[in-house]
Amino acid sequence: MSLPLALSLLSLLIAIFAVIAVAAVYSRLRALEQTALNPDTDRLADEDRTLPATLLPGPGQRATLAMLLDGGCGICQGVWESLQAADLPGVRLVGVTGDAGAAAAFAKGVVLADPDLWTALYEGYAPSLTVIDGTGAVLARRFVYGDTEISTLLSELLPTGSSHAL
Amino acid sequence: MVTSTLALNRLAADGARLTVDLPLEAGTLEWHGHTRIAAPGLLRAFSLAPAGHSKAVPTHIFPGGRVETFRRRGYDLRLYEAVDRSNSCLIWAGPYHEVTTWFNGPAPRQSVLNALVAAVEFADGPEGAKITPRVQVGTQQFGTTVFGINDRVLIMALDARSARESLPDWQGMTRGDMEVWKDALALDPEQKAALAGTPFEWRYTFASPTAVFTVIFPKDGTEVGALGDPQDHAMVEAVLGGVRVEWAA
Repeated sequence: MSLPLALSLLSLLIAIFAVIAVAAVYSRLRALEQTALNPDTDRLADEDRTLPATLLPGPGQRATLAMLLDGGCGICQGVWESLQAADLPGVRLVGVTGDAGAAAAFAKGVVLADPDLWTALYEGYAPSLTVIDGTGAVLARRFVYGDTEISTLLSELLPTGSSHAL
Repeated sequence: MVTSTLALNRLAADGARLTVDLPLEAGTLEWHGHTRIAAPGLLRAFSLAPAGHSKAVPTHIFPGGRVETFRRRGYDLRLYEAVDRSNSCLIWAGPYHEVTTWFNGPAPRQSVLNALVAAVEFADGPEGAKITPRVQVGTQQFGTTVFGINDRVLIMALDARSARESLPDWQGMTRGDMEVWKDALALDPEQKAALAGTPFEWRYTFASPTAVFTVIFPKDGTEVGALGDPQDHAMVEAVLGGVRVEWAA
Protein backbone atom coordinates (compact mmCIF):
# COMPACT_ATOMS: atom_id res chain seq x y z
CA MET A 1 0.00 0.00 0.00
CA SER A 2 1.33 3.38 -0.99
CA LEU A 3 1.55 6.27 1.48
CA PRO A 4 -1.06 8.49 -0.26
CA LEU A 5 -3.59 5.65 -0.29
CA ALA A 6 -2.99 4.98 3.42
CA LEU A 7 -3.45 8.67 4.26
CA SER A 8 -6.67 8.98 2.30
CA LEU A 9 -8.10 5.81 3.92
CA LEU A 10 -7.18 7.21 7.33
CA SER A 11 -8.90 10.55 6.64
CA LEU A 12 -11.98 8.74 5.36
CA LEU A 13 -12.12 6.77 8.63
CA ILE A 14 -11.81 9.99 10.66
CA ALA A 15 -14.58 11.61 8.59
CA ILE A 16 -16.93 8.65 9.17
CA PHE A 17 -16.16 8.72 12.90
CA ALA A 18 -16.93 12.46 13.04
CA VAL A 19 -20.31 11.96 11.32
CA ILE A 20 -21.23 9.14 13.76
CA ALA A 21 -20.18 11.27 16.76
CA VAL A 22 -22.28 14.25 15.63
CA ALA A 23 -25.31 12.00 15.08
CA ALA A 24 -24.88 10.41 18.52
CA VAL A 25 -24.62 13.77 20.29
CA TYR A 26 -27.66 15.05 18.35
CA SER A 27 -29.80 12.06 19.33
CA ARG A 28 -28.74 12.37 23.00
CA LEU A 29 -29.73 16.06 22.94
CA ARG A 30 -33.10 15.24 21.38
CA ALA A 31 -33.74 12.65 24.09
CA LEU A 32 -32.78 15.14 26.78
CA GLU A 33 -35.07 17.79 25.30
CA GLN A 34 -37.99 15.37 25.45
CA THR A 35 -37.35 14.35 29.06
CA ALA A 36 -35.32 16.43 31.53
CA LEU A 37 -35.50 19.73 29.67
CA ASN A 38 -39.18 19.31 28.81
CA PRO A 39 -41.26 22.15 30.29
CA ASP A 40 -44.32 19.89 30.20
CA THR A 41 -43.24 18.26 33.46
CA ASP A 42 -45.63 20.59 35.29
CA ARG A 43 -48.58 21.15 33.02
CA LEU A 44 -51.04 24.00 33.06
CA ALA A 45 -53.87 21.61 33.70
CA ASP A 46 -56.21 20.38 36.41
CA GLU A 47 -54.58 18.28 39.07
CA ASP A 48 -56.21 14.85 39.17
CA ARG A 49 -57.26 13.89 42.65
CA THR A 50 -59.15 10.85 43.85
CA LEU A 51 -60.82 10.92 47.24
CA PRO A 52 -61.59 8.02 49.61
CA ALA A 53 -64.59 5.76 48.89
CA THR A 54 -66.43 7.12 51.97
CA LEU A 55 -67.21 10.22 49.93
CA LEU A 56 -68.58 8.45 46.82
CA PRO A 57 -72.18 9.24 45.84
CA GLY A 58 -74.75 6.58 46.74
CA PRO A 59 -76.56 4.38 44.19
CA GLY A 60 -78.65 6.47 41.81
CA GLN A 61 -76.92 9.69 42.75
CA ARG A 62 -74.82 11.66 40.28
CA ALA A 63 -72.37 13.38 42.62
CA THR A 64 -71.36 14.08 46.19
CA LEU A 65 -71.14 17.63 47.50
CA ALA A 66 -68.70 17.53 50.40
CA MET A 67 -68.37 20.55 52.64
CA LEU A 68 -65.30 20.94 54.79
CA LEU A 69 -66.51 22.22 58.17
CA ASP A 70 -64.57 23.68 61.02
CA GLY A 71 -65.89 24.21 64.53
CA GLY A 72 -63.89 27.44 64.79
CA CYS A 73 -65.11 29.10 61.62
CA GLY A 74 -67.71 31.83 61.89
CA ILE A 75 -69.64 31.26 58.67
CA CYS A 76 -69.68 27.41 58.56
CA GLN A 77 -72.95 27.09 60.47
CA GLY A 78 -74.79 29.50 58.17
CA VAL A 79 -73.42 27.97 54.98
CA TRP A 80 -74.22 24.42 56.18
CA GLU A 81 -77.81 25.41 56.96
CA SER A 82 -78.33 27.05 53.58
CA LEU A 83 -76.94 23.91 51.91
CA GLN A 84 -79.44 21.81 53.91
CA ALA A 85 -82.25 24.08 52.75
CA ALA A 86 -81.18 23.94 49.09
CA ASP A 87 -82.92 21.55 46.71
CA LEU A 88 -80.20 19.26 45.31
CA PRO A 89 -81.76 16.30 43.45
CA GLY A 90 -79.45 13.33 42.97
CA VAL A 91 -76.69 14.83 45.09
CA ARG A 92 -75.31 13.37 48.29
CA LEU A 93 -74.57 16.15 50.76
CA VAL A 94 -71.86 15.38 53.31
CA GLY A 95 -70.13 17.53 55.89
CA VAL A 96 -66.60 16.63 56.97
CA THR A 97 -64.98 17.70 60.23
CA GLY A 98 -61.71 16.77 61.87
CA ASP A 99 -63.08 15.72 65.26
CA ALA A 100 -66.34 14.57 66.85
CA GLY A 101 -66.60 17.67 69.05
CA ALA A 102 -66.81 19.90 65.98
CA ALA A 103 -69.30 17.52 64.30
CA ALA A 104 -71.68 17.80 67.28
CA ALA A 105 -72.04 21.54 66.61
CA PHE A 106 -73.79 20.79 63.31
CA ALA A 107 -77.14 19.31 64.20
CA LYS A 108 -78.72 18.72 60.79
CA GLY A 109 -77.62 16.42 57.98
CA VAL A 110 -74.77 13.92 57.65
CA VAL A 111 -71.53 15.11 59.22
CA LEU A 112 -68.57 12.75 59.18
CA ALA A 113 -65.89 13.23 61.83
CA ASP A 114 -62.74 11.70 60.39
CA PRO A 115 -59.25 13.22 60.57
CA ASP A 116 -58.07 11.27 57.49
CA LEU A 117 -60.96 12.51 55.37
CA TRP A 118 -60.31 16.00 56.66
CA THR A 119 -56.66 15.77 55.57
CA ALA A 120 -57.70 14.45 52.15
CA LEU A 121 -60.07 17.38 51.60
CA TYR A 122 -58.30 20.23 53.39
CA GLU A 123 -56.55 22.72 51.11
CA GLY A 124 -55.52 25.37 53.60
CA TYR A 125 -58.95 26.94 54.09
CA ALA A 126 -62.36 26.13 55.57
CA PRO A 127 -65.18 26.15 54.59
CA SER A 128 -64.74 24.76 51.10
CA LEU A 129 -67.08 22.81 48.82
CA THR A 130 -65.89 19.84 46.74
CA VAL A 131 -67.89 18.02 44.06
CA ILE A 132 -66.96 14.34 43.69
CA ASP A 133 -68.17 12.02 40.92
CA GLY A 134 -68.91 8.28 41.01
CA THR A 135 -65.25 7.30 40.62
CA GLY A 136 -64.07 9.48 43.50
CA ALA A 137 -62.49 12.07 41.18
CA VAL A 138 -62.75 15.74 42.15
CA LEU A 139 -64.86 17.66 39.61
CA ALA A 140 -64.78 21.10 41.22
CA ARG A 141 -63.68 22.81 44.38
CA ARG A 142 -64.60 26.27 45.69
CA PHE A 143 -63.65 28.25 48.76
CA VAL A 144 -66.65 29.84 50.51
CA TYR A 145 -66.41 33.32 52.01
CA GLY A 146 -68.77 35.39 54.09
CA ASP A 147 -70.08 37.27 51.04
CA THR A 148 -70.44 34.22 48.75
CA GLU A 149 -73.92 33.82 47.27
CA ILE A 150 -74.66 30.15 48.04
CA SER A 151 -77.44 29.67 45.48
CA THR A 152 -75.27 31.06 42.64
CA LEU A 153 -72.36 28.93 43.77
CA LEU A 154 -74.53 25.79 43.80
CA SER A 155 -75.90 26.46 40.32
CA GLU A 156 -72.31 26.81 39.08
CA LEU A 157 -71.10 23.67 40.86
CA LEU A 158 -74.13 21.47 40.15
CA PRO A 159 -75.97 22.62 37.02
CA THR A 160 -79.41 21.00 37.22
CA GLY A 161 -79.98 20.75 33.45
CA SER A 162 -77.25 18.25 32.66
CA SER A 163 -76.78 14.76 34.03
CA HIS A 164 -73.19 15.56 34.98
CA ALA A 165 -71.88 18.10 37.42
CA LEU A 166 -69.30 20.66 36.30
CA MET B 1 -47.55 60.93 73.11
CA VAL B 2 -48.35 57.31 73.88
CA THR B 3 -50.48 55.55 71.28
CA SER B 4 -51.72 51.98 71.33
CA THR B 5 -50.35 49.97 68.46
CA LEU B 6 -51.37 46.74 66.81
CA ALA B 7 -48.58 44.23 66.11
CA LEU B 8 -49.12 42.47 62.78
CA ASN B 9 -47.22 39.60 61.22
CA ARG B 10 -47.06 39.54 57.44
CA LEU B 11 -45.33 37.39 54.86
CA ALA B 12 -43.55 39.04 51.91
CA ALA B 13 -43.77 37.49 48.44
CA ASP B 14 -40.30 35.96 48.76
CA GLY B 15 -41.16 34.32 52.10
CA ALA B 16 -39.57 36.94 54.36
CA ARG B 17 -41.39 37.62 57.64
CA LEU B 18 -42.42 41.15 58.54
CA THR B 19 -43.58 42.53 61.83
CA VAL B 20 -45.56 45.74 61.53
CA ASP B 21 -46.44 47.89 64.55
CA LEU B 22 -49.37 49.97 63.46
CA PRO B 23 -51.14 52.60 65.61
CA LEU B 24 -54.88 51.87 65.88
CA GLU B 25 -55.65 55.31 64.41
CA ALA B 26 -54.48 54.07 61.00
CA GLY B 27 -57.42 51.65 60.78
CA THR B 28 -57.39 48.29 58.99
CA LEU B 29 -55.01 47.99 56.08
CA GLU B 30 -55.44 45.90 52.95
CA TRP B 31 -52.17 44.16 52.09
CA HIS B 32 -50.71 44.01 48.61
CA GLY B 33 -47.28 43.14 47.33
CA HIS B 34 -44.93 42.95 44.41
CA THR B 35 -41.94 40.83 43.43
CA ARG B 36 -39.81 39.96 40.41
CA ILE B 37 -38.15 36.71 39.43
CA ALA B 38 -35.27 36.49 36.94
CA ALA B 39 -33.98 33.14 35.71
CA PRO B 40 -32.60 31.91 32.36
CA GLY B 41 -35.52 32.29 29.95
CA LEU B 42 -37.82 33.77 32.58
CA LEU B 43 -38.18 37.39 33.67
CA ARG B 44 -41.50 38.13 35.29
CA ALA B 45 -43.09 40.59 37.67
CA PHE B 46 -45.78 39.34 40.06
CA SER B 47 -48.28 41.43 41.98
CA LEU B 48 -50.05 40.15 45.07
CA ALA B 49 -53.51 41.16 46.25
CA PRO B 50 -56.18 39.87 48.66
CA ALA B 51 -58.38 37.09 47.22
CA GLY B 52 -61.27 38.27 45.09
CA HIS B 53 -59.48 41.16 43.40
CA SER B 54 -59.44 39.30 40.08
CA LYS B 55 -63.26 39.21 40.06
CA ALA B 56 -63.10 42.49 38.13
CA VAL B 57 -60.95 41.02 35.34
CA PRO B 58 -63.66 39.22 33.29
CA THR B 59 -66.22 42.02 33.71
CA HIS B 60 -64.22 45.26 33.68
CA ILE B 61 -60.68 44.68 32.42
CA PHE B 62 -61.23 42.04 29.70
CA PRO B 63 -65.03 42.12 29.14
CA GLY B 64 -66.08 39.22 26.96
CA GLY B 65 -62.60 37.75 27.11
CA ARG B 66 -61.45 34.18 27.53
CA VAL B 67 -61.06 32.54 30.94
CA GLU B 68 -59.49 29.19 31.64
CA THR B 69 -59.39 27.77 35.17
CA PHE B 70 -57.13 24.95 36.27
CA ARG B 71 -57.65 23.42 39.69
CA ARG B 72 -54.61 22.73 41.84
CA ARG B 73 -54.35 21.50 45.39
CA GLY B 74 -54.86 24.60 47.53
CA TYR B 75 -55.28 27.11 44.70
CA ASP B 76 -56.62 27.69 41.18
CA LEU B 77 -54.64 28.80 38.14
CA ARG B 78 -56.66 31.21 36.00
CA LEU B 79 -55.66 32.40 32.57
CA TYR B 80 -57.46 35.51 31.31
CA GLU B 81 -57.19 36.89 27.79
CA ALA B 82 -58.79 39.99 26.28
CA VAL B 83 -61.25 39.42 23.46
CA ASP B 84 -58.91 41.19 20.98
CA ARG B 85 -55.91 39.32 22.46
CA SER B 86 -54.20 42.62 23.26
CA ASN B 87 -53.43 41.59 26.83
CA SER B 88 -53.61 38.57 29.08
CA CYS B 89 -52.68 37.50 32.58
CA LEU B 90 -52.14 34.39 34.65
CA ILE B 91 -53.41 34.30 38.23
CA TRP B 92 -52.52 31.95 41.07
CA ALA B 93 -55.72 32.26 43.15
CA GLY B 94 -55.41 30.91 46.68
CA PRO B 95 -58.07 31.04 49.39
CA TYR B 96 -56.59 34.18 51.00
CA HIS B 97 -54.50 35.93 48.36
CA GLU B 98 -53.86 35.93 44.65
CA VAL B 99 -50.76 36.51 42.55
CA THR B 100 -51.04 38.00 39.06
CA THR B 101 -48.54 38.23 36.24
CA TRP B 102 -49.36 40.23 33.08
CA PHE B 103 -48.18 39.25 29.62
CA ASN B 104 -48.90 42.56 27.80
CA GLY B 105 -49.93 40.64 24.70
CA PRO B 106 -51.73 37.46 23.69
CA ALA B 107 -51.53 34.54 26.12
CA PRO B 108 -48.24 32.67 25.56
CA ARG B 109 -48.05 29.20 24.00
CA GLN B 110 -48.93 26.20 26.15
CA SER B 111 -45.28 25.17 26.54
CA VAL B 112 -44.30 28.65 27.77
CA LEU B 113 -47.13 28.63 30.30
CA ASN B 114 -46.12 25.15 31.45
CA ALA B 115 -42.55 26.32 31.94
CA LEU B 116 -43.73 29.36 33.92
CA VAL B 117 -46.00 27.29 36.14
CA ALA B 118 -43.21 24.77 36.68
CA ALA B 119 -40.63 27.46 37.50
CA VAL B 120 -42.41 29.01 40.48
CA GLU B 121 -43.91 27.71 43.67
CA PHE B 122 -47.03 29.27 45.19
CA ALA B 123 -48.11 28.96 48.82
CA ASP B 124 -50.96 30.87 50.46
CA GLY B 125 -51.86 31.54 54.08
CA PRO B 126 -53.77 34.09 56.14
CA GLU B 127 -50.61 36.17 56.72
CA GLY B 128 -49.61 36.43 53.09
CA ALA B 129 -48.92 34.55 49.88
CA LYS B 130 -45.51 33.40 48.77
CA ILE B 131 -44.30 33.03 45.19
CA THR B 132 -40.74 31.77 44.92
CA PRO B 133 -38.57 30.19 42.20
CA ARG B 134 -38.52 26.39 42.40
CA VAL B 135 -34.89 26.21 41.26
CA GLN B 136 -32.54 28.46 43.23
CA VAL B 137 -29.43 28.06 41.04
CA GLY B 138 -29.02 30.92 38.56
CA THR B 139 -32.25 32.52 39.74
CA GLN B 140 -32.76 35.88 41.39
CA GLN B 141 -35.79 37.21 43.19
CA PHE B 142 -35.69 40.96 43.71
CA GLY B 143 -37.79 44.08 44.17
CA THR B 144 -39.97 42.41 46.80
CA THR B 145 -42.26 45.07 48.27
CA VAL B 146 -45.12 44.92 50.74
CA PHE B 147 -47.89 47.54 50.58
CA GLY B 148 -50.46 48.28 53.27
CA ILE B 149 -53.24 50.47 51.91
CA ASN B 150 -56.46 52.06 53.08
CA ASP B 151 -58.09 55.43 52.46
CA ARG B 152 -56.07 57.17 55.18
CA VAL B 153 -52.58 55.80 54.87
CA LEU B 154 -50.25 53.97 52.49
CA ILE B 155 -47.24 52.07 53.79
CA MET B 156 -44.65 50.65 51.40
CA ALA B 157 -41.96 48.42 52.94
CA LEU B 158 -38.75 46.99 51.49
CA ASP B 159 -35.90 44.90 52.83
CA ALA B 160 -33.21 47.26 54.16
CA ARG B 161 -30.46 45.33 52.35
CA SER B 162 -31.99 45.95 48.93
CA ALA B 163 -33.18 49.52 49.60
CA ARG B 164 -29.93 50.97 50.95
CA GLU B 165 -29.11 52.67 47.66
CA SER B 166 -32.45 54.43 47.46
CA LEU B 167 -32.16 56.32 50.76
CA PRO B 168 -31.58 60.08 50.73
CA ASP B 169 -27.94 61.11 51.14
CA TRP B 170 -28.65 63.81 53.73
CA GLN B 171 -29.09 63.06 57.40
CA GLY B 172 -32.61 62.49 58.65
CA MET B 173 -34.26 62.89 62.02
CA THR B 174 -33.87 60.08 64.54
CA ARG B 175 -36.79 58.29 66.18
CA GLY B 176 -35.49 55.64 68.60
CA ASP B 177 -33.15 53.47 66.53
CA MET B 178 -34.76 54.60 63.26
CA GLU B 179 -33.90 57.44 60.91
CA VAL B 180 -36.72 59.44 59.27
CA TRP B 181 -36.59 61.65 56.19
CA LYS B 182 -39.36 63.74 54.72
CA ASP B 183 -39.50 64.54 51.08
CA ALA B 184 -42.05 66.49 49.04
CA LEU B 185 -44.58 64.39 47.11
CA ALA B 186 -44.74 64.95 43.35
CA LEU B 187 -48.11 66.70 43.22
CA ASP B 188 -49.75 68.82 40.56
CA PRO B 189 -49.57 72.60 41.23
CA GLU B 190 -53.20 72.86 42.34
CA GLN B 191 -52.83 70.09 44.94
CA LYS B 192 -49.45 71.42 45.99
CA ALA B 193 -50.94 74.82 46.78
CA ALA B 194 -53.90 73.32 48.62
CA LEU B 195 -51.78 70.99 50.75
CA ALA B 196 -48.97 73.49 51.48
CA GLY B 197 -48.12 73.61 55.15
CA THR B 198 -49.97 70.39 56.05
CA PRO B 199 -48.46 66.97 56.84
CA PHE B 200 -50.16 65.57 53.71
CA GLU B 201 -47.68 67.16 51.29
CA TRP B 202 -44.80 64.93 52.41
CA ARG B 203 -43.58 61.42 51.95
CA TYR B 204 -42.03 60.05 55.16
CA THR B 205 -39.25 57.52 54.65
CA PHE B 206 -38.18 55.48 57.68
CA ALA B 207 -35.10 53.30 57.98
CA SER B 208 -35.34 50.73 60.77
CA PRO B 209 -32.42 48.31 61.36
CA THR B 210 -33.94 45.73 58.99
CA ALA B 211 -36.45 47.56 56.77
CA VAL B 212 -36.94 50.73 54.78
CA PHE B 213 -40.53 51.90 54.64
CA THR B 214 -42.35 54.90 53.27
CA VAL B 215 -45.55 56.34 54.72
CA ILE B 216 -47.89 58.57 52.73
CA PHE B 217 -51.22 60.07 53.79
CA PRO B 218 -53.20 60.38 50.57
CA LYS B 219 -55.46 63.42 50.60
CA ASP B 220 -57.33 65.45 48.02
CA GLY B 221 -56.62 68.99 49.21
CA THR B 222 -59.06 70.61 46.79
CA GLU B 223 -62.08 68.93 48.43
CA VAL B 224 -64.17 71.25 50.58
CA GLY B 225 -63.28 70.88 54.25
CA ALA B 226 -60.66 68.24 53.49
CA LEU B 227 -58.04 69.81 55.69
CA GLY B 228 -60.17 71.15 58.52
CA ASP B 229 -60.59 67.92 60.50
CA PRO B 230 -58.36 67.97 63.61
CA GLN B 231 -58.76 64.18 63.90
CA ASP B 232 -56.82 63.75 60.67
CA HIS B 233 -53.88 65.62 62.10
CA ALA B 234 -54.04 63.52 65.29
CA MET B 235 -54.06 60.39 63.13
CA VAL B 236 -50.98 61.55 61.20
CA GLU B 237 -49.17 62.31 64.42
CA ALA B 238 -50.09 58.93 65.95
CA VAL B 239 -49.06 56.98 62.85
CA LEU B 240 -45.74 58.80 62.43
CA GLY B 241 -45.03 58.35 66.14
CA GLY B 242 -45.90 54.66 66.37
CA VAL B 243 -45.40 52.94 63.02
CA ARG B 244 -42.54 50.48 62.75
CA VAL B 245 -41.65 47.69 60.31
CA GLU B 246 -39.06 44.96 60.86
CA TRP B 247 -38.03 42.60 58.09
CA ALA B 248 -36.68 39.14 58.96
CA ALA B 249 -35.33 37.11 56.05
